[in-house]
Amino acid sequence: MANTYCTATNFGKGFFTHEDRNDFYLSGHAGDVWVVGNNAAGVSWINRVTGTAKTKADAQAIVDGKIEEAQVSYDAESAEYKAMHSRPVKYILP
Amino acid sequence: MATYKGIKGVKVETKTSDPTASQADGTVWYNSTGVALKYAIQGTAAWAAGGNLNTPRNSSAGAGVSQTSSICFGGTTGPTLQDQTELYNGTAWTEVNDLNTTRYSLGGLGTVTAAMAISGYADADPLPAAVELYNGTSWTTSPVSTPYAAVNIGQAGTTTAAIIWGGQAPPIWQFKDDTLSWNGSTWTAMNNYSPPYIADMASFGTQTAAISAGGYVGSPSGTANVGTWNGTCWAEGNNLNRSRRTFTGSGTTTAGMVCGGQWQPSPTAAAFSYKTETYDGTSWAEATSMTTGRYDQGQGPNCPSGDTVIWGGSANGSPYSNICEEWSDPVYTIKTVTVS
Repeated sequence: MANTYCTATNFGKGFFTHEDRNDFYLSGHAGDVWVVGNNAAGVSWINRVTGTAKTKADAQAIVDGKIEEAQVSYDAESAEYKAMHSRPVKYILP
Repeated sequence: MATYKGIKGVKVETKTSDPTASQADGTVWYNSTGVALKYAIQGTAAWAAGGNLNTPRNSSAGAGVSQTSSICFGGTTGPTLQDQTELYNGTAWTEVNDLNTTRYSLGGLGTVTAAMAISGYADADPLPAAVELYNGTSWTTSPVSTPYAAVNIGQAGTTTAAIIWGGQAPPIWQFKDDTLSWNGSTWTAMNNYSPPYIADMASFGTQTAAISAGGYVGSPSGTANVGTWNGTCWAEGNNLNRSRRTFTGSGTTTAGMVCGGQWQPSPTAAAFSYKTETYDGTSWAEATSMTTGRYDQGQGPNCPSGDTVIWGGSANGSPYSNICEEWSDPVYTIKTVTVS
């Protein structure tokens, strides 16, 4: 399995470092969902940031829920706002 | 057998603490405190988490010269337009004196002691054409505004030698192709931007050597076109690898970078907004992606391409972010020699 999944709150400086980014795959998504490369460094990072492990399906559901909320907000915006911003779209987590 | 002394001409040095990784690149030392043999190497460019903004926002502007010296101003958090200014020292953001005119999608350039806020969007009619100058303590509205009000302009230079171009202007959000030069007190019309009519581009450089990358030309997917400015006129440069708009960049015409952006209506838009590209003066190359994809983020265009920071912005499901990332190119790392 290439990736693992967790939720964790980005507390800012030091949450992930340049070395982390060189050592394992990492991407952040809505709902504080993180997709983490499934190697020793990635697992160590999840522990370091006190992440809560999720299945891919659970992580996807969190992201989808946030995007649906954002779509509702977007749809309520003015035409002027919509002309300058994209409507949020669902996508598949890597 | 080759020895370290034979190669380097010196014995392995003993240190009580590790040196700075960038200064120690290519060397080996013995850390007597940690009882470990260590070395420093140069790795690939990468993003790291920075301190979170105090006020989440998108469509802000920025100035600054490094990851440890940048400033964010303006922006919007939903219906709340922002006048807040925040200063970044490489670790945390500190609120300082606010803009005089609340606005978003404004232009910004300069340093943390000499920054410039240009035009933008506000809930007032007409749009603000005001220019504000920051002296390291407070903002002062210049007696001279831009010749026209616009949002999402391109900008490059300093508070005493800048150019701006493009953008969208009311009443029908017309795309502009004007290029205007600023000498600290007056605006002068220069040769128009070509290809014409563009906004939402990533821009950086100086008054006499600037880059205008990508942007919005009426197509929601944005463009990959790149304009290069030599102080007199625009020329077509090599295209970005990815079309995009509503993104940012920094650096010079020989060493630049861009990141993030929108590319609708494809469902792959979310993944695309992670993309980073670097520019060597001739062509663009894809680099390590951002950790949290986004568009409409803030960034100081005057930062060097390898020492810059982005903040805020929007992502799918997270329209007003306070997250910050620092880009370093290259990254230096200290490693411990392990023997098994």
